[in-house]
Amino acid sequence: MSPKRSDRRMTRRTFLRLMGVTATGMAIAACTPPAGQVSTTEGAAPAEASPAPAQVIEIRFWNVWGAAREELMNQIIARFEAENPDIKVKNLVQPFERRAENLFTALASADPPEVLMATRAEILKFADDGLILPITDSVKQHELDLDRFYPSEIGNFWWKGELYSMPMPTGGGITCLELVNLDMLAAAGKEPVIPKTWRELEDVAREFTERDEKGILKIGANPGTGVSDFFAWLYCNNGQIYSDDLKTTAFASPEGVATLEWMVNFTNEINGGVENVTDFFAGPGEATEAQPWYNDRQLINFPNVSVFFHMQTYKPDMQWDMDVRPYNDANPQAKSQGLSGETFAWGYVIPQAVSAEKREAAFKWLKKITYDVDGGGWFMLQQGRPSPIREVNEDPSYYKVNPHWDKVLKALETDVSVQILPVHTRVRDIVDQGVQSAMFGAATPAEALAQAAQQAQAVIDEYWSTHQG
Amino acid sequence: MTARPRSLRVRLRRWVGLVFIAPWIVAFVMFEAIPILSGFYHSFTDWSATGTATRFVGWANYREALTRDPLFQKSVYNTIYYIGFSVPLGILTAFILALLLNRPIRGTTLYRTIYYLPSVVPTVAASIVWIFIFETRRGILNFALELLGFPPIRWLSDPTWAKPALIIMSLWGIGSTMVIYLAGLQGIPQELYEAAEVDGATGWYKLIRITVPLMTPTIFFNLVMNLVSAFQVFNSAFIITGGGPFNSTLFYMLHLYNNAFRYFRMGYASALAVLLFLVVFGLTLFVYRTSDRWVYYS
Repeated sequence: MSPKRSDRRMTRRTFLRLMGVTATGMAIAACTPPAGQVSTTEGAAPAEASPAPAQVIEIRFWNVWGAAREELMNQIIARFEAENPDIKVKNLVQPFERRAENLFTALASADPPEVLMATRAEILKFADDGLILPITDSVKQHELDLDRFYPSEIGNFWWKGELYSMPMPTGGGITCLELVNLDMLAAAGKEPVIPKTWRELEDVAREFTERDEKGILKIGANPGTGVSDFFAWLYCNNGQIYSDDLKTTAFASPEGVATLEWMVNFTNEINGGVENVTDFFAGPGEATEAQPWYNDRQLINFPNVSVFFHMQTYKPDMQWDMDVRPYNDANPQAKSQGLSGETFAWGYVIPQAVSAEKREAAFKWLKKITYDVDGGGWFMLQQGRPSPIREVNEDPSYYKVNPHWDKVLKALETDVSVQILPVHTRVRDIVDQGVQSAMFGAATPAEALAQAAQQAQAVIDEYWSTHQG
Repeated sequence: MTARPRSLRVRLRRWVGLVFIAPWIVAFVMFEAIPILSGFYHSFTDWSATGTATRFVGWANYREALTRDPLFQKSVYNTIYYIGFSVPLGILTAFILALLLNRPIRGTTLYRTIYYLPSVVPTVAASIVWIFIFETRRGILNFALELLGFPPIRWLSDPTWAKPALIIMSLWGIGSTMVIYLAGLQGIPQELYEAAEVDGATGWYKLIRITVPLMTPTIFFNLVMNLVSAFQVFNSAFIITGGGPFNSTLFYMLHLYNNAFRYFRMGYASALAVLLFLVVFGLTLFVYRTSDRWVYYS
């Protein structure tokens, strides 16, 4: 073997090094925005150079409007594409259980979908981290009138003086409703009654709840056993989650303790304990026809506004009536209130990484599904659930699918907008630990909330230590 | 004169081998090695994945996990409990099933298929089925218990029973372990059994003296694989119980997932992942080191 030939020989070490370099190169290439995409930190302003009319821009739209709603969404897309021949919308419904994972991965990538559906807590977090585009300038350029939205609804998506999304569906209507199954009352020979206070609710529930050695057969009412219900009842007892400046927790107040005590006592005395309640509502999901509400086994229900769509689907002949969530009549300051924006407030965002030439198209689509009456408004109307746009809810066709529509609107008026922090999901889970602790008897409600408040405060303090007020 | 062509052949063979494994090496570096190293690095930061500013925080994430996070301890306890029961139970049940299905009976292939089938059913679908099986009032499991005179159990709503329920559910996927045992059983030379029979050995004696010793390499393999996968138990708890009731099924991976994808605390979640890696690695090493005392390689 000549020395020259030996010099040219590639050793295994060199080969492996080459492989490493190739892999690293590929990894870097995968993380680089595709050619032609420029990532900037500017708002979602229309691109200066408009695309040629012949060029079709594709908008990938990630959302969780699955099942029957997917077809409705496709109809909006068809109308939108007819109005905007240069834009094509790809409806990509995400599996709900993997939603958070997919959302995170998409936003961390260099080529995310152009429009993403996300919760309010997520949107505030992404806005705080500078990952999504503010749409304030686009709203001005398109001369949109934000007063068409209920103030509490559009208010959910402002963060540090910038608007990041418009709402659809409502962030309200999540906790304010109380529905009563009139068929069950009639079958029991009772006059229609809708409890207005905690005491009335207890009386009716005590009368209707039936149990045997295996648990609950029929339930009068379930005040809930988790954090969502605790927050809902807390506001009906004149309490609140955070202080007004969002610097401290407020849920462990005397009102909070009284609320949790009432929930625990109700659950134990009337429903026979948290295990009984969990078993009674066990099943593959809340929105399935197997649930007690659709089978005359639950007299009073505290659902969110999506229930109207599910009732049309699962039990259209059901006789029912409604009012607002009962309040604590033992507290003179308390009144019926719903929460808007604490959870299940959805919006749509445009990631920062979306290329400049696609931003205008993405905003047009965002506008269609939130602001336009024949877009997001129509979508809500078809489902019989309220729109965050006031004028949509005045459409008389709502009464065809919901004879109590006026009461729905009245309930929505009781909603108060709750200010939350980007770390709200963490705080919420901590409070849930406290509620569970009290429900399972591991601590008294006062002890459980005090401990939760201490832990939640540490999270809040940590947040403010790295963020300006 | 003769050494040179042989060395050329050897070099050529090496090259061909390297070319064939190159796709795996590239994929390993890109999708395994780089993410592992990146995770290790991020465990020392407060990276949120969505945030732009990442600070180096030293050992803070590890300190938080080991001293300040009450759910860390809870999730470790739940996971150890789960592993302690599900791994031995899974290994034993799969072994017994393999022994039964290794016998020359009619319809063996059908039985093997039936027992293997659940392991290819998606976890989401299987979980829905198990929700119905575990129902307190109408579940088939409680129905069987009642027939035997036992009171019904609140499988998924009682913190005491939720973990055992998921351990029982873990048996659903033992089909793949069973198939590996079957392959091992069929590799045992028949002459050994025949020789034992000549010496008057009973079925039990043959099992203890021939089958089990010769199956120890397979048992060892299954033990390591089941240990690693049991540490990563996630799907069943995520879908069926969500970590409840009262955190009784909050397994380590679920706690890690919550921090990563719900709270966007990727730095802390990376620290949890590194700790998990160290524990699994240490345990695997321990099992491997002790294997020369009980694994018989003929």
